[in-house]
Amino acid sequence: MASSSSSLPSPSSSSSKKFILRSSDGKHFEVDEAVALQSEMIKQMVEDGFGGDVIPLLNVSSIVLSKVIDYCKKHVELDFKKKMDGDNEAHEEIKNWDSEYINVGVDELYHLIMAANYLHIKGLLDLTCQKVADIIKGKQPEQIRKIFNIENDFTPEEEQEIRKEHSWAFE
Amino acid sequence: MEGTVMKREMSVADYGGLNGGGRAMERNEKRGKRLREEQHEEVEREGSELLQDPLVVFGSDIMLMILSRLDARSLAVSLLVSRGWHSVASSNSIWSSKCKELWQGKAHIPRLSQVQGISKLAAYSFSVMDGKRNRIMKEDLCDHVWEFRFKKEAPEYWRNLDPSWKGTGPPMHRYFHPNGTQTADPGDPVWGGHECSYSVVTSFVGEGRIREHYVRINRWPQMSVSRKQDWSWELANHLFCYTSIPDPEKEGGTGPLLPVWYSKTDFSGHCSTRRKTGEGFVSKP
Repeated sequence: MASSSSSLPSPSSSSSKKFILRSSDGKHFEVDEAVALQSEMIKQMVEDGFGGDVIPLLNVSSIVLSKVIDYCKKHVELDFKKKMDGDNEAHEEIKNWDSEYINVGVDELYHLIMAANYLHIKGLLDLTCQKVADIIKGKQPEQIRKIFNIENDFTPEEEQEIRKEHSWAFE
Repeated sequence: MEGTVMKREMSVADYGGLNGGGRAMERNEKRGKRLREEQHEEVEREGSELLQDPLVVFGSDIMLMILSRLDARSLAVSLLVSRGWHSVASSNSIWSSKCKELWQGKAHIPRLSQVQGISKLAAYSFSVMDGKRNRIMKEDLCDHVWEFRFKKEAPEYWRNLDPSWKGTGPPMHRYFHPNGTQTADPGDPVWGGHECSYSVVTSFVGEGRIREHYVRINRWPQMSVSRKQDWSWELANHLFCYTSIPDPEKEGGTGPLLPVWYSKTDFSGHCSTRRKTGEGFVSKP
């Protein structure tokens, strides 16, 4: 959680343009342009001429932001690799890296979804939504309610009706 | 606990949303200070492993993204979680792609699923249920064109007349008509020109369980009915075999217009409930 990130060896040259992102709790993160532009929101801001020295990200805490930057950095790197080494190998590496990356607690997962949505990083939003979907997948309604603390607000008759209409799913 | 839920909802409301990027940014800047304080508290709570309803936390747009990643069965099961989930999980946008997947490569698309005004979820459910149906109806016979072939066990004389056996031409066709007759193409090598009639026999035992089910043409040996993975039909006895020719492109679908997978008693009961509640299969405008 350093106030400025050390720049990792990156495929884009070290002399490339830098952006400073400021988290909601006031910490600064220096990142390469390519990394920052993984966020469609930042890209839009820059295109709209809002290209000041520091980009304030009011909805993202430093803890979450640093995790998001990890994602963007890796994907810039892997996109570059994909161009160089061809699709297959890089594809496998992205998959492995992503599944390792998303192996987080639920609280962090929820924060990542919010950040990915706010920053408009499609890949990260896909990845995090998939993780929630994986939690839901193959479970019974009662199990899902229990996991997410949801109250069943159907009447028994309504529940019966839905089960009947879609009985193929409950066999 | 109560407080935690409230808090989370508030912080969600403050997020920009998927398409709100730049504008949300401006808006949020004004609230920056307040937000920053909230965010701090938010961070401090990091580590509490209690999941909350993603629909409440993220709203229906992201919930839709999450649910659209489910397989059809899991998605249908999620309808039952709560009313809120039901409204997202029944959305046409998800189910129309599920329908497309389901119908891909199928020989026949059930007419039930093509009724105007029907929701895509209902279309999907109807299709799955109808695809499992092994009871053939007159509509199925009449809507499809059928290929007719003799089997190996048939007398050589008949096999020799069958172009698909001798490899001299395409298989013969048979057509079933709503008036109970059956015809062939002109110049059909087997067709004798005599009058032909068919009947579908279905006998039930007890609670609508089918005891016997077959199609018979004239007084010839009865043909048992079976259905393949791609929803096409096969009628066969020891001598000959009918297979339905794929026709998924047929406008409005094919087969019966009423659900026939319910047993008799079950189905009438189902109908009356539906009329009472006045909702379900047909999407609301």
